[in-house]
Amino acid sequence: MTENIEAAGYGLADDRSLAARAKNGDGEAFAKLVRAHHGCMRRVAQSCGLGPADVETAIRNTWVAAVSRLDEVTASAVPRVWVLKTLLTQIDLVPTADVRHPPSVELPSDEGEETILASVERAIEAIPRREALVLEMRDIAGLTSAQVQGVMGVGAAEQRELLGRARRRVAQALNQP
Amino acid sequence: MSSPDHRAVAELVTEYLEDAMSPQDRAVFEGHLDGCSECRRELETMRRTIALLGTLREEDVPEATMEYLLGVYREILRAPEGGPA
Repeated sequence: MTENIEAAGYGLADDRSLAARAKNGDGEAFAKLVRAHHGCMRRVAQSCGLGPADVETAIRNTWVAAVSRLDEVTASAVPRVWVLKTLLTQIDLVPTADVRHPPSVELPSDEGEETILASVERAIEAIPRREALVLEMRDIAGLTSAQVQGVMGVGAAEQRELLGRARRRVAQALNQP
Repeated sequence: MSSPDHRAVAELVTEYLEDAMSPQDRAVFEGHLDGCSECRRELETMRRTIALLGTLREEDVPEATMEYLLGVYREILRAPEGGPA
């Protein structure tokens, strides 16, 4: 099982190093940067209610913006915060109804690992957008609280409130009979 | 939660887990936990949920997306300063 990027040993230094190498023409470094953040970006975009095609569009547009402004990305204190903030901007630009369609959360009868993780994904899709965003970034992508606050433009107390509500909703969804 | 105190503790679980409490508040909170099985269960549930969230797997970038992005990357980096991409 591949764990989140922090748990896999990927960190801020990798972000900075890859962004700097990409700026200097290293295409493989750029590809690594894209791969490292794809899962988080996909889930963040999905949390905003985008369908699969729109998710890909928002992700592509984010990276196009990043490539066009690699100076900014490399100068950013935390490149992943720059990328996620840009993604949120791109999500707002996707011409789609900004409506979340929460699926019902069906708990697995067979509690195999794959099934449980699929239930977690469905539970996240069913919670309000801002709560899901904080949860995705903090608990799955492994951003620090300060980084999440930077992306969302919220203070520490609000970020914790959103995070706490999101965690409780996921826990409740997974524990419902 | 069956009392205002318990509800307040439930709201503080995130603050506790995020290590955002002062040492004094942390000691008070842990003191409450020692005597309250309901709050200990809540804390344990949150810990298990966070652990589960951390195991969500990353996935591969679709091949078409990666090809597209690498094409854009090469195009933009090749373009002269201020010129067309």
